[in-house]
Amino acid sequence: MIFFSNIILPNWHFPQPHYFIITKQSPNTHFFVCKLLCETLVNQTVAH
Amino acid sequence: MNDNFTASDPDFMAKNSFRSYKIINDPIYGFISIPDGIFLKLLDHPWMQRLRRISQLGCSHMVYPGAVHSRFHHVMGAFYLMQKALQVLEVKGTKFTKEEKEGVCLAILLHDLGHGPYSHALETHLLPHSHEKITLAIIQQLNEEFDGRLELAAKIFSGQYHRHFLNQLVAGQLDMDRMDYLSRDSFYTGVAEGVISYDRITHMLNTVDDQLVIEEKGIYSLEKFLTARKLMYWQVYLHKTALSAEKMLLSLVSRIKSLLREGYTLPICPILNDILLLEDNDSINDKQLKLFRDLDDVSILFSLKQLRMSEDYICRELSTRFLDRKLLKVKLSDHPFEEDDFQKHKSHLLERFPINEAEAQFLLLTGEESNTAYRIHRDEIIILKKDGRVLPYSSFPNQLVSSGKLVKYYLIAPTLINN
Repeated sequence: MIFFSNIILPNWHFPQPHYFIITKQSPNTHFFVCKLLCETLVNQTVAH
Repeated sequence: MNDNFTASDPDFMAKNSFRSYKIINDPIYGFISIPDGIFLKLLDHPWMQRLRRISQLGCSHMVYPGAVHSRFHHVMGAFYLMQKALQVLEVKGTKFTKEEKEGVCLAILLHDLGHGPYSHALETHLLPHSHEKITLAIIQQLNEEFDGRLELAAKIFSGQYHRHFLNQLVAGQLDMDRMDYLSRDSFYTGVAEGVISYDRITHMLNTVDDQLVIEEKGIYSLEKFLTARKLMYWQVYLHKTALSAEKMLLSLVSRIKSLLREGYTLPICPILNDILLLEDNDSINDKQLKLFRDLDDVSILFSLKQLRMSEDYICRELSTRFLDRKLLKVKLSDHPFEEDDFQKHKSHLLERFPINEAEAQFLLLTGEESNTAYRIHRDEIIILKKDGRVLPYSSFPNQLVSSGKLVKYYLIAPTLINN
């Protein structure tokens, strides 16, 4: 959970999640679920 | 005057018709309130969330390991200070409309959207525009998305609004941006020379004929602020090790750009690839902004990791050195380097490294950096005397901070030859 704490507490820092970003940019629809999750993490539109 | 407020004061929020708000914990100021409505919507917008992935101080964490704070952090701090400044000015009799208050708070919240990866390090090299120009283009794009609600914020940000002090609070010599970054950067680096008395300065603010002024009794806090900024420039922002890292990054981006434009394929982040292949354009278009929104520190870091295995020697050398912090050596001087000195370094480099003459420019870097502690020709800081007269700071006797520009020249190379 510490890994994701910077979504709540901006003072937390952790190694940057490179692969989220790359997958978010992937055009391949087979990766739809993966892409959706990456998109939500990057834009902080986290599931309720 | 009621001094006992904070920006998270529920009364303040109620008085300003903010029915509900969120609070965010900040290590410098405590809780920062973000009012519901457009402020929260903007905070949650992908353009704002992107700032979480833009480091505030570029490569300074190579010197000060604590300096890993983000632009997101900074804009929230500046927003907090703006709330405080508005409260002080209001108590002292400055009249604002609700729209002006909202406009100036929005302007400060959005003032850094145009920063690219590693903040100033690659500025104008990914998109050929200053970060201020990109910020304005983004605010205008967001204005359309928010049905014209950011019109006034854009005017205030670009200095087009007739009440000049609103722009001075966002982009003057004593603005909330500088006040937050000095406090925040000194906190995260641990450099005590940057600590300023932001609370006292904010309480000394006033306006005269829609110009921002600082009351005379606050002059020592003002001088501490100007001195702190000057010291932070040389001790943090232009520290020679961080300078080396930033110039290496810039050199690597130039190398990638030239290889891509010659038709080579590189295993880098696709967004970086596409943005470096864009035609240079005087105006900012939607295609540029679309790519820029997806570009952040991660795009660069990912590309660096990929380039460790590149076939190109320059890409491999610069990315490996950057990631492992085997930075190029730096020589600083108060005078430009002699041509002889430069040629000696170049020959030395060509003897020791598997590169040709044209490639040497990516490992042997020269240039200059400068800083003006205080500017007197435009938008001076105005002091309000006890007798009601207003005078520019430069006309005061025995000033601690002069307006001179300090220039330093650098020479950066894998090895330096001693003269």
